[in-house]
Amino acid sequence: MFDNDNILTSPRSIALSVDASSPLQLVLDEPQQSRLTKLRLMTLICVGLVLAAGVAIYGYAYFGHHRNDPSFWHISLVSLLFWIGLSQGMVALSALLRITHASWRYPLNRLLDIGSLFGLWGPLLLPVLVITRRQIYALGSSDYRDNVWRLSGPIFWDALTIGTAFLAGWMLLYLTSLPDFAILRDRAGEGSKEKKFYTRLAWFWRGSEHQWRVLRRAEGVLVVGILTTFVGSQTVLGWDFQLAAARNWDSSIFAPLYTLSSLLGALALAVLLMTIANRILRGRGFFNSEHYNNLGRFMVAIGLVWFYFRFCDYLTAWYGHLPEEWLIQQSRTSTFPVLVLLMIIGCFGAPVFGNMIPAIRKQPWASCTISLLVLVGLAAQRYLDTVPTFAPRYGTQALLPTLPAIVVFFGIAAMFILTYLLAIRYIPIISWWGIGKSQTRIAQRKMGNTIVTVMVEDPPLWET
Amino acid sequence: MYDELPVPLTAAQVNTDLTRNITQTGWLWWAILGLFGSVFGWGALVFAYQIYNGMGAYGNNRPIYWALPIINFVFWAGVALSGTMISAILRLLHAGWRRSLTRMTETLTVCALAVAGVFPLLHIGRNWTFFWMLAYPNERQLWPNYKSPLLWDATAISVYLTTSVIFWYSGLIPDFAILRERTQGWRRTLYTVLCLGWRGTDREWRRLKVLFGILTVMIIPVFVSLHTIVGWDFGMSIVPGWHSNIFAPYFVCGALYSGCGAVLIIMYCVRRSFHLEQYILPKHFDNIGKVLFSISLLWFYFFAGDAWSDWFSRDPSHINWLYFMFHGYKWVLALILVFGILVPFSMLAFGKVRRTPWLMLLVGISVNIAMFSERVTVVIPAPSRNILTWGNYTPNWVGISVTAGAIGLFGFLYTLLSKFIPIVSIWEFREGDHAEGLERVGGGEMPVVIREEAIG
Repeated sequence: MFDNDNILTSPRSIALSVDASSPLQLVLDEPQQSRLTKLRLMTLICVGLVLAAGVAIYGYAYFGHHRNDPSFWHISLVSLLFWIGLSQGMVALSALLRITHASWRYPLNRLLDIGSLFGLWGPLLLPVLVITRRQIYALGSSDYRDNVWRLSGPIFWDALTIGTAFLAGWMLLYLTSLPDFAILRDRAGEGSKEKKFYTRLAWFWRGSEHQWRVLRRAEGVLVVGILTTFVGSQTVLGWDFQLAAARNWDSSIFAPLYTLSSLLGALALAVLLMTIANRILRGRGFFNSEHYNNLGRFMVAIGLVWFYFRFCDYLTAWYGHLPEEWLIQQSRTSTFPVLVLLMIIGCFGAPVFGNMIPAIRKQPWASCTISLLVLVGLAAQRYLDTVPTFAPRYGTQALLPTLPAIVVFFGIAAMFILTYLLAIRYIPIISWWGIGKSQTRIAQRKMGNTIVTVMVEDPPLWET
Repeated sequence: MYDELPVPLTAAQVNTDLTRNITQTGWLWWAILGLFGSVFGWGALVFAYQIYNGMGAYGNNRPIYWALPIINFVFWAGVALSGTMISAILRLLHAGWRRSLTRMTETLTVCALAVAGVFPLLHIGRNWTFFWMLAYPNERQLWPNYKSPLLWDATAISVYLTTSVIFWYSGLIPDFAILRERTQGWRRTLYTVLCLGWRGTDREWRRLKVLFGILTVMIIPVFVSLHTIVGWDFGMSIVPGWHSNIFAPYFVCGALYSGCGAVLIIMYCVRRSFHLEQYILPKHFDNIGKVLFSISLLWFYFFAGDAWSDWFSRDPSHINWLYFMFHGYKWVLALILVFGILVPFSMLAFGKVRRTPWLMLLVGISVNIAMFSERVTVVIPAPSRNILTWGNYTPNWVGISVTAGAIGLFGFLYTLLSKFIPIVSIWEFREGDHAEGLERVGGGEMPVVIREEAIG
C-alpha cells in the first residue's frame, strides 16, 4: 500500500547521525562558559543543601534534644516519601509509555529512567529518619521500635517493595543504555579514560540481532516488573497509614491515591525535565509541542481521577458524618486551609483546567508553571494526609515546620536534583538508539492531495 | 509475531456480509427470540405476582431490605458499563481494532441498561408510585427526596441511557443509509426515516466526526458517574461494611470487569450466529482479553486492598462483614475466588487461550458468575450483622424467576435489535480497511497503520 523509501534505514546509522553528543560535551564545546558555570554552581548549591540536611538530621534531631519533636520528623519523612514516590512514578511513567507503544516516547524514556537513580541514596535516609521517631505509630501501637524490622511491621515491607521497585528501574536504565554506551565506547579515542570507562559499561554489547532481541525481551519483562513493583511499593507506602487503626488513616483509598499521586507528580517532573533538557540540547528539537500536548492530556486524565478519589474520600466522611471521622476531615480544612487550597489547585485545578486548553498545554512556560503547581499541590497533599491525624494529640503549634525541618525538606529536593546533575555527566539523557528507532518507524505519505502520517505497528513487547 | 490482518474484502462483500442479519431471517433467529421471550414473559408474570403479594414475595425481610432486585440492578448496570466504555475509550485511544466491536458493544449497553433500569422499579414495592424517583419540579418539597439513593439511581440511569442511545444512534446513521439502498418495502421506509436523509457528503462526515468527538469525551464521565452513584448507594450509608470511601471506584472497576466479560460473551455469540469469522478475529478476543486481564488485576487490587485493610486494623466496625464472608457466605466467596480470580488469571495470561474464541466465552461466563456473586457479598452480609445469618435470607422461586427474566429480557432485546441494525458497523469497518496495510521490506512484510487524527 505504501512506498518503501525511508522505511527501515538502519537504526544504528540514524543513531550515529543524530547530532547529540553527551550533554556536558555540548556545554563544554560552547564558546561561552556561562551554562557550565551555572551547572557547576547548581551542583555546589545542591551539595551544600544535602550536607546541611545531614547536619540537621544528626546534629539537631538525632544527637540533640529533639528526638521526639513531631514537626521535625513529619516534615522530613513526608518530603522523603514525596521524592521516593516521584522518582518511582517517573520510571513507571516510562514503563507505561513503553507498554502502550506511545510513538512519541523515545526521547523521553531515558530522562524518566534516570529518576530511579535517586533510589541509590535517597531511601538510605529512611531508616535514619524513622529510627527514633515515636509519633507515627503512637496512635496504633504501644511502642514504635517494636514494629521496626518485624515481618508484619511497615518498615520491612517498605524496604522490600521500594528496594525491588528501584532495582527494576536501575536494571531497565542500565540495559536500555547499553547500546548508547557502546556508541560512546566506539567514539572515544583509543587509550582514553572514556574508552576504558564505556568499554566496561557497554560490557558485551556488539549490536547483533540476537542481542537486540534479548534486549527487547528483557525490556518487556522489566516493564511489566516495574509497573507491578511501582503499584506494590506505593500501595505499601499507603498501607503504612491505611493499616494503622487511626481515624482518617484507616482509609481504603490511601493506597490507590498514593499510586495516582506519584504518577501525577511524575508527569509534572517529566514536563520540567523535558524543558530543561531542551534548553541544554538547544536547537535539536527532540521535544516539541507534541510532547507537551500529550503529557498535558495525560495530566488532565490523572488529575480528574485524582479528584475523583479525593472527592469520594471527602464525600463519604461528609455524608456519613460519623463524629470521629468527620472531625479529622474538618481539622484538615480548618487548621490547614492554605495547604488544602494549594492541594486542590495543584492536584486538580492546574493540571485539569490549565491543561484542558491546547494552546496553554503546548506552551513550555505555561506547562512548566502548571507542573510546578502540581508539585506544590502534591507536597501539600502528603503533609495533609499525614499530619492532621496528629493534630488533636499534639496541637497545631507543635506540628508547624521548624527551620531544621525546612532545611531537610530542601536537602532532600537537592538530592534529587543532584542525582540528575551527576547522571548526565556519564549517561546520554536522550537515548540515541531510541531516537534512531523512532525515525525509522514514522513517515509522511502522500495519498491523493493529502499527507498522512504512516507508522510501523509495534509488536507487543513480549512477542519479540 | 504480528497480529494477523483481515483478509482483504471488497466493499460489496462487506456490505452483503454485514447486512445479512437484516436481510435474511432463519428459523434459528425465531427460536432464540422465542426462548428469550418466554423466559422474559415468565419473569414478567412473576413480577405481577410480586405486585399482588408485596416485596415479601422475594424473601426480603429485616434487616435485609435489599436483596436480589438490587443485586440484579448493580449487576446489570455493571454489564451496561463496559459496552460504551470499550467503544468510547478505544475511539479516544485510536485503537484500530475497535471497529469490528463498537456497534455490538454499544448495543450491549443499551439493552443491559434497559434491564438495569427495570430493577429500581421492581424494588420500590409500591411500583405504581415509580415517578417519585424522578427529579421533577419540587417547589413544595413534597415527594422527591434528594438524599435518597433511588433518586440518584433514576437520574444516573436516565442520563446514561439517553447519552448511550444518542451515541449508538449517531454511529448508525451512515449504516441506515446503506440499508435504505439495499432494502425494499416497509424496511426501506423505516431506514429512510432512520437515516435522517444521510447522503454521505464531505460536510456530513465532518459533522459526524465532530459529534463523535464531543460524545466520546462526554460519555466517559457519564459512565463513571453511573457506577459511582451505584457505589454511593452503599458507601454513603453508615452501615459498617458499606461505609467505605473506596466503594465508588471499586464499583466502577467491578462494573468494567463484568462488562468486559459480557463483551466476550456477546462477541462469541454474534460471531457464531451471524458467521462473522472474517470480521471478528482472534486478535479481537486477544485484545479484549488483555483489557480484561488488566481490569481483573485492578479489581483484585481494590477488592483485596479493602478487605486487607479492614482485617489488619481489627476495628470491630470494619471486620464484621469479613466475619460473615468467611462464615455464612463462604460458598459465595469461594465462587468469587474461583471464577473471578483463579479462572481468569490462569487463562488470560496465555496468548493462545486469549486467541481461542470458545475459551474466551468461558472466561466471560466465569467472570460474570463471579461478579454476580460479588454483588451478593456486597449487598447481603453487611446489613445482616449480628442479627441474621445466611439461613435468614435464601433466594426463593420469585427472586430466581425475576433474575432469569432479566436475562430473558436482555436476550430478547438484543436478538430483536440484531434484526434491525448491522451488528458490526459497516462504515467503521470499511474505514479501518483503508488504514492498515502491509509494507514489504526486502523479503519480509510488516504491518503499518495510518495514524488517526486526534479527537477534537
